[in-house]
Amino acid sequence: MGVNAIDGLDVSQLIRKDAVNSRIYSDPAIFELEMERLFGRAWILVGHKSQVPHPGDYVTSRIGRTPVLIIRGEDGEIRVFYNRCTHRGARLCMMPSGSALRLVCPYHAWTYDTLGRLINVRLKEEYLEHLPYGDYGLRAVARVAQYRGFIFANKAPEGPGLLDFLGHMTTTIDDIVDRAPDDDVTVFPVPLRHRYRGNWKLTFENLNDTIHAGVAHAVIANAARNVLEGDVDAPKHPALHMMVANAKPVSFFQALDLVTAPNGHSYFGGHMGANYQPEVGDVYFQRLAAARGDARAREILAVDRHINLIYPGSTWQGRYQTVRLVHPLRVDLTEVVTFVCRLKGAPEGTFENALIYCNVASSALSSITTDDLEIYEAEQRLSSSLEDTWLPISRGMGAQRGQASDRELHAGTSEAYIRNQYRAWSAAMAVA
Amino acid sequence: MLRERIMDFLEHESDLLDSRRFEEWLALFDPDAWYWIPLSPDQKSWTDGPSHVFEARPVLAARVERLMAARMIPQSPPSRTSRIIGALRVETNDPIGVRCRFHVAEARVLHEPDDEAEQRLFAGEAKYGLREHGDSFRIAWKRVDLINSEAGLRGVSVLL
Repeated sequence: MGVNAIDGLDVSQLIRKDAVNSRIYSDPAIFELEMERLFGRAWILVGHKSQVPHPGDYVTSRIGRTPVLIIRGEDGEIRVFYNRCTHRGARLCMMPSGSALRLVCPYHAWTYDTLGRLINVRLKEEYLEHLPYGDYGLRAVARVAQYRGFIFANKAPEGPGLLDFLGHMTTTIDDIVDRAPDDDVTVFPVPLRHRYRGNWKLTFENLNDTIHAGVAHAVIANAARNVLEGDVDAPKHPALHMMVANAKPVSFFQALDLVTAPNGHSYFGGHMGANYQPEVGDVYFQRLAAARGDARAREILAVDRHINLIYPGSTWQGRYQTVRLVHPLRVDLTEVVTFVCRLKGAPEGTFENALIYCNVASSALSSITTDDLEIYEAEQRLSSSLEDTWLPISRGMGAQRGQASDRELHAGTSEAYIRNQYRAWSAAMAVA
Repeated sequence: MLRERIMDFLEHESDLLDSRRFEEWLALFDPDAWYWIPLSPDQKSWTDGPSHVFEARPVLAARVERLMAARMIPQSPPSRTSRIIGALRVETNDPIGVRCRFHVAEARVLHEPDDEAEQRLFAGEAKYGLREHGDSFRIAWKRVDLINSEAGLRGVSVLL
């Protein structure tokens, strides 16, 4: 029996090239293994430096299901700790964000400084020599690295660095930050959250699936089209165009390139043809061109990728300045945390466009997202009740369109990105 | 008396929603009206960070048309709602600005193991800008602050 066996079952037996066994969505033992081998070793986006601008500023986040704390120390360094007092294991920071030069545990007032060092405990004289302070500083996440201000953390002390892990996907992050005339972004501090009673992988399998849009979202696309046709006032509302874009013909999506990259990452080109131009477009372009030159500004704005998936922790939309963290809370419960970025130096209207997109695409009350959330929950219930079902992932198999360095190009309607995710999943899950 | 007329109007609005007469509900909104469910009670304007919903009337009209559609996925089968409003305060008279508290219970029977637990309660404060219209009112704007607005919410398809 191999090292990747659980309950007498070899995990590699659950994945075929053309199909996956539905047990991977519902088996708690597989979820535990994912937490250890996938979320325990991958670089996971936890936040952005603008959330902690000053020494002592902190925010909470997660690596997989594990609560962590991002704090800027008095030395200016950003660190990521497990949000847990080293004494009895109580939650240290109770608020989602704040600022403090001393972190005091609410249980027994064990006190840490902003560098995570234990500096005081209640009734210290009774510990005599049995409490070496140096051993009980806050437990740091093994590795932390930033790429253009976005903070990634990795629980594993060894393994590929962040740039190796991201590979080509650094261009996904560039696609947000390059759009800022001042070459920097800030994230709005309060994120929009939605959740569903379903496995985290369902989100990653949905977000590059262009074919579900015309089916699952047909009703809102149709309703939005009717409004656009019947109300002269309607076309000025970008949300309606975003909704209608779901009903683009299949040929439109087939023509797009789906790009898969090592480590499970992917994106597709074209932003679904939603004809979005901020009203402030001219001013914005002038500022970007002033900062980067006319040609470079055009090049930056011409990058046209819809949803970028940095597997297994985050999804990115440069054009709408939206970044989502996918938090697997339980095998059957997932929370998606959406941050909207402000482009430094850009007119406020660019931020407003991103806010509208966030409403339409990431809210638990969205007329689009609610379709997806309902389907995820139904998928989950069935995965839990039908244990030995094979679900095909073979759309577009054997029809690779091209190769660019380590990336594969496929038709925008291919499920190659799902097969790519399971290649990375299988590789991670096989290593004890 | 103004307060009584307003309460009557808001109870009529609640009744339309619980009776699933969504098109009549939409007709209560003026053409330039907006409907807003912010992410945080601190937000002063929809540009003040992300919102759950910020919809001008044409976008709200698409939402309503979707709700009425037979093949609308998260409302197949449809939810039933039962709502109570109260604690009405008339804050300003001209223009008319009011706020009230609400509880909306939602049940959607899926014949799944969790049916009974699925009944959900949404609670919070609703604020309105109203305009006189004949012997009744039209809604110029409506803002809904959920008490759990910053939480990770599961899909919400009912109108609040």
